[in-house]
Amino acid sequence: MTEIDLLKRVRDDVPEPDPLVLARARQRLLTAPPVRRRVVRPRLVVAGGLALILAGGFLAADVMSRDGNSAVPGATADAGTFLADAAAKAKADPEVSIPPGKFRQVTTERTFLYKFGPKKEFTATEHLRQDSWVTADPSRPYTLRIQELAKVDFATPQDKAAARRYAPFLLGHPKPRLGRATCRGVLIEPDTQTAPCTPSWEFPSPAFLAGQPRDPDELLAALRKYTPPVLPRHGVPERQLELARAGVMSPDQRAFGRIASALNSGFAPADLRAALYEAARKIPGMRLTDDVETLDGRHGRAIGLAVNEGQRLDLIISPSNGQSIGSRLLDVGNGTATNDVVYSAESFTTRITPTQPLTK
Amino acid sequence: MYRFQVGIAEDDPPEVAPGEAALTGPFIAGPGPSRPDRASPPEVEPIPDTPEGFARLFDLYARRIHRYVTRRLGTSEADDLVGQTFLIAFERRQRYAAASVGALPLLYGIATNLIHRKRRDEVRQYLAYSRSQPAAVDQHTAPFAADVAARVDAASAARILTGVLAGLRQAERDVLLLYAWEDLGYAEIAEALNVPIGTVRSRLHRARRALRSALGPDFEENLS
Repeated sequence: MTEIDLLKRVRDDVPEPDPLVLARARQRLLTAPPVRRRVVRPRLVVAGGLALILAGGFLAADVMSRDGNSAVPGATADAGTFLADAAAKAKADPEVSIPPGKFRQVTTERTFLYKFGPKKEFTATEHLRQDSWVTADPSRPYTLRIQELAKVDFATPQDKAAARRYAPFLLGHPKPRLGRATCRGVLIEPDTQTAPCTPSWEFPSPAFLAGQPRDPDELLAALRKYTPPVLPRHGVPERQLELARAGVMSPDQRAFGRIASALNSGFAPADLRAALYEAARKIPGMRLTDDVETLDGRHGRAIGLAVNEGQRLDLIISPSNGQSIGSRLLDVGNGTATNDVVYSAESFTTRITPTQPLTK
Repeated sequence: MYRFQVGIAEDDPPEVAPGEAALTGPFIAGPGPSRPDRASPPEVEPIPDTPEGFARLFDLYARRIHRYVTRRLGTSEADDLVGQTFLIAFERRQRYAAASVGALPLLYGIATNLIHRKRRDEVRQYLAYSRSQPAAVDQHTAPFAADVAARVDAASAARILTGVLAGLRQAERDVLLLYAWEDLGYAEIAEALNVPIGTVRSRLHRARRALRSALGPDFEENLS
């Protein structure tokens, strides 16, 4: 072993890039905006480590939209009771298995706020739509269609006018991207050689989730444990970086973020959902919020945990059947309900379909 | 003029504005020594001329560039710099037409020059890393003594090597990391950094010597 071999292992366990970040960079390339010479542009605030964990990347900018719903947190005991009830309902109401030759279509809507301009004084809400068609065999790659910039909302006409100058890609209408995927959010387009990613809690695939334990204690231990990403090269875990990360995100926060990622994937079967709820019950500090509206207008109750200073991650669960229906990341400011600001939001639905789009 | 002066070291290349070094001067095709440990010839992707072509280039290489920047600066900076790297490459695509090594080394060159603007952050990160405490050995997750010892050794070596990275000159660090982390050959590094191959060799030699020296005589004896 040479010194070069040793050096190859240093910082070898860096995380995979957020697919959403790459998608946005790619879109900017296609719209070919003027090159910005300043390297140090006030960068987007990646909402802690949870932004990556959240559903293929909740990229958060600075000032966001007001959360129109009341967000009065309930007691921890209420949260535990609600989660136990949701787990029981999830077990009692399993999803329909995928018949041979058919598909489970998971449709996901996401928003994230983007702030732009010389002083980041303009904002836009970007909408992204993603559809997955999963077969009964969880190990098979599945069809994925991503529509970036499905819609862009501007708070004011001034914001839209500023976009023409500072962020013209926001005014574009990119075509949907269709391809095969092995990990959620990572598209393998037919005309490229992009390597498939390795499934993980951050990028769960149906097969990855199928292999997780159903015992809540075992599952929580797996969720809390730091596992460096399996990389195609070298692949030696670097414990120093692991410790550095551990200093940023507690094991409980890591576990809750992973629970969100697994549930938001839409791939978690009912027994795993129930186990995830039971595991979440064991995380201290959980708070319950009544009557939260998802991105697509459904209502549920939210289980939330402070994930960063001044931020809270909410999982939105239907009280009627224990189905996870979305999530949101909030800036809770000074802790008063009226200051809650939604950084990003996601909702998803699933249904059985007989067909899927054909890829090349 | 781009030079191939094998064996001639150039310690003090002319000052070039960050983000520009890989973009200035014609890229003259020429043979260079390929990396001896490379298993297969490098994949050469021609320089496209359209946004769609660059989007395909992005699909091919964005993750590699992102990973490179992440290892040097962290994820947040990588998120920013990857897009800029490709935008700069697209804007200057005409200058790349003659590049013999394909697009990837040039992308690395642009990214490296963008990293220079953050060199203080990079060095600070390495220093913090090198000064961190050794990881506690978890007997539950690493029950086998040999494995535990290997992990501790690897962690110690990593701290030492990051300390060396912090102390290297920027130019030496660029060459070393493109060689060790990105598996570029001498010619590719030369093209990426717009320096002669001889400069690449000499910088790499000095950097490797610094690494071996920091690892101590035991390591060098084992190596020999």
